[in-house]
Amino acid sequence: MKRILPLVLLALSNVSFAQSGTSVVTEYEIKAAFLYNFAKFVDWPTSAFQTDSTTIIIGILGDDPFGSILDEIVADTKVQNKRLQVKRFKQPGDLTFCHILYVSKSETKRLQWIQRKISGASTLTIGESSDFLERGGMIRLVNKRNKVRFEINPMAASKAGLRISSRLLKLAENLKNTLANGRVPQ
Amino acid sequence: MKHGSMSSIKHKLTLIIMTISITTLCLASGAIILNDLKNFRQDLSQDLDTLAAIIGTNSAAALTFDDPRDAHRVLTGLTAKKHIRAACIFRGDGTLFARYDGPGKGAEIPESYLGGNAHAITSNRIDLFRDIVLDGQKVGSVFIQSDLGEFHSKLKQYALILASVLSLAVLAAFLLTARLQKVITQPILDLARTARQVSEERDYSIRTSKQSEDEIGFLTDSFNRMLTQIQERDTALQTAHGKLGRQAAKLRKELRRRNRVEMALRESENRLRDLFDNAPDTYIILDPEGTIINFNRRGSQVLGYSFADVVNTSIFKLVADEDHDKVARALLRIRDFGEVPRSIEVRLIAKDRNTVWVSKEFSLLTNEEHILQSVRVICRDITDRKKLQEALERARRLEAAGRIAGQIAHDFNNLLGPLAAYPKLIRDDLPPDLPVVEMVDEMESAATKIAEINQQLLSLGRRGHYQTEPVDLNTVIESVLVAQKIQKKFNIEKNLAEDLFVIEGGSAQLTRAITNLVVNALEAMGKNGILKIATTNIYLENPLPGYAKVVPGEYGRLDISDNGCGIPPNILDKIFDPFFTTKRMDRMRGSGLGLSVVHGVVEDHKGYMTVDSEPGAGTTFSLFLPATRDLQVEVNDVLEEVSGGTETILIVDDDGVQRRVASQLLNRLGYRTHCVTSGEQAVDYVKNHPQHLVILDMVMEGIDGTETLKQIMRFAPSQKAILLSGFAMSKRVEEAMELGAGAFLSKPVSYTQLARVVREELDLPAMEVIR
Repeated sequence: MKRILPLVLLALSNVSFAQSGTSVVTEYEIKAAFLYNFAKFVDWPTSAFQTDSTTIIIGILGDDPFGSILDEIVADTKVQNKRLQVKRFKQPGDLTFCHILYVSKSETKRLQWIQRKISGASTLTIGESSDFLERGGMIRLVNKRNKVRFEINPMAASKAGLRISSRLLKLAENLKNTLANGRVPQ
Repeated sequence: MKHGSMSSIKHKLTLIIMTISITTLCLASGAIILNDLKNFRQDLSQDLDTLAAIIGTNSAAALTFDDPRDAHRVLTGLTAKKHIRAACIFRGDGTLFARYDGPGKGAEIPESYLGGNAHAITSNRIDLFRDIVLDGQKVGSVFIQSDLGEFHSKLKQYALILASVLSLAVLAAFLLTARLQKVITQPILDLARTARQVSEERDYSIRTSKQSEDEIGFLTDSFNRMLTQIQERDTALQTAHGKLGRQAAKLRKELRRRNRVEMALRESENRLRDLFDNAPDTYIILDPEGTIINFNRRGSQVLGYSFADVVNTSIFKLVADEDHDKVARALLRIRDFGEVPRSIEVRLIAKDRNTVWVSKEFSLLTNEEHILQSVRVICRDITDRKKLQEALERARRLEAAGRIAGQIAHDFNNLLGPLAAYPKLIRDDLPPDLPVVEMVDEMESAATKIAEINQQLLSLGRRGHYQTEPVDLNTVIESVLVAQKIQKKFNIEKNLAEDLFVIEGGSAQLTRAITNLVVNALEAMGKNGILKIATTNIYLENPLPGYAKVVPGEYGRLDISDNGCGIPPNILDKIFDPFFTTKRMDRMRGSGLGLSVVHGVVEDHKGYMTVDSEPGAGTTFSLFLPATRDLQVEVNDVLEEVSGGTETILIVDDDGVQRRVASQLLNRLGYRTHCVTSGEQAVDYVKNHPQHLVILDMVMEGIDGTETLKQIMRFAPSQKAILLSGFAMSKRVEEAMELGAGAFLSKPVSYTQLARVVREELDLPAMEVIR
């Protein structure tokens, strides 16, 4: 964690990862911090913590782009007074319940299947594919002007029984304007 | 207790109430406002804090996901808060993340911030820092700067409110006080007004009404009670005062009565004292021992001693030594036998050592027990009587001596014939060288002297028995001087009046008298003396020294003066006695008959004689011989010189001769004259018979010339008048001249002069006379 902490903080800085020459902050280092930070703005229904109420599980499905970074970020830290645990799944068939599920680019074609697999469970799905939200995904990470930004599908999250903080919603690239105009998405 | 100070109580009360109200109000509202302001500031801080927290919460996600635009949007929400000058959000590493600038300028925003909650309040702004925490983790900081404009406007608002509330409160308090203070001041004012009324009108029946049951009510009761007491006392006082007044009036009346009595007594005493002092006689009151205890003013005048000089001294101090026995005997009789002695005649010695003859009448003053208290001595001045007595005695003496001498002389004259004639015959028959011839010569000389003395004696004896004729004294004097052949041997100063009155008398007698005086004078002086002989006309009115009275009229006066040894005063009254001489009785000296002869001659001529002698300086004998005026001669002279007239003239003179002479003269001049003998008669006469001119004698019995003129001028203010007087100008004459008298002539009057003055006065215009 000590090595990771600057990264977390860096993620909050204004430094864009692509242009950075001196301090190399990679795209996925930032995205790892995002995964971690999303946990802070999402409320899971109590049923999601029936088996283990002290742990928030972050699942990575498919190729792992983060390496050990994500593990370093979440180690020895708590969100909503819960420890974080990273689980990796090779294919959708391996899937078990996780609170946050990162769907790697390699699994984009099997989204339908994945959806089926987790339907009914309160899992926040995060992806990167361009049609991730249209196909039922909840948060899509995008690169925009050399910065990592995200889009949110509040309907999908709501269907899954998740409540995403409005503070997060208004940061979403696809919702910003709507929220700025005063209309509450839902 | 005046109205002014009462109203000041009102003012004081108002002031006190107002002060209390304002102070209370100020304190209360001050406290409220201070508290409010404090709360306001706290609220402001809290508001800011809350705001910061909201911003923090709202920007936590933006920070987390590095979205400054969103953070900025959050901050932009502060636009609604006008008092926020600036706000910003710092990242966790202290760098600036988002910034907002509010309206207005001067916002100071730190470049970076590393975190920590803090706030700083200055006079015009509040700076607040607040950490942004997300899920227990600090993710950044919020900074908000707020100005205190609102606070200040709030302050102003409060001040305004306080001012208006205070004004309203003061006004309300004042109005309330004005009404409510009467509750306290009205009874006091009533009380004061009553007190003032009582003290001004002194009416103690006034009462003040009680208005309340408090201390003032008690005061009112006490005051009323006090008034009641005063009223009672006042009544008592008035009663006593009335009584006292009546008594005082009684006392005053008594005092007046006593004053009157005392005044009457004093007047009576003054009258008596006046009588005592102005009595014509000397009054001396003695105690029984002869000590003087009182002495009147007349006594002072007669004796020259003042009251203080003689009081408490013995009577014997005043009595001449020769008469001590007489007085002592009289006092002894009074003291020892209680007898009142008959009057005694004694000599008193005045302060200037002159002798005053008095007759003393004694009377005794005793008290109720008939014990002698004092002796009253009335001393009547009888000096004049004594002098007259002496003069009379001397005259008798002279007359007797003269008569005897005359008879003897007559006989002697017959017997002296042979003694005077024969020595010549005897000598003729004797050889001249015989010693007996000398004896015969001496016999002849003695016989001649005897003949001379005999002649004097004959003059004495022949008094009154000679023919009279008009005599001119000047002629007599010249003849005496020639006969005595002295003019070459002595210095003689003659001063003879040319118009000397003619004397009716015997020229032989007068020649002898003048000869005697001249011889006496020459003998008194010796060779170097100066003999002065003078004659003048004079009008006598007042007595001469040595004479009780004189017949007023015109006199020729003769003065013979020497500057010889003078006559000692002690023999002055003896010099006219026959055979009295200061010359030793040797063959060359006098017989002692010279002045006796002079005296006799003067008396025979009804004239007067005085001696004025100063030892060592000389002696003057003055003879006054009555004049006889030859009217015919004089009037003729006058008529030649002065013109007359026909006016009426009143002659006022108590001297018959004067009246007659003047009226005759004026009648001859053609005037119509009338004569009266006194001023009173003149006034009466002029009242009924207006006169052109009044000729007034100044000195008359009754009113004098001046008073006569004054009275005449009361009804005849332009009366012309001429004054005559034997005296020179006097104060009375001046007064008469001021009244309007035209001229003053001193007697004896020359007819020429009189005629001229009368004409001049009549010719003056009447207007000139009126002053």
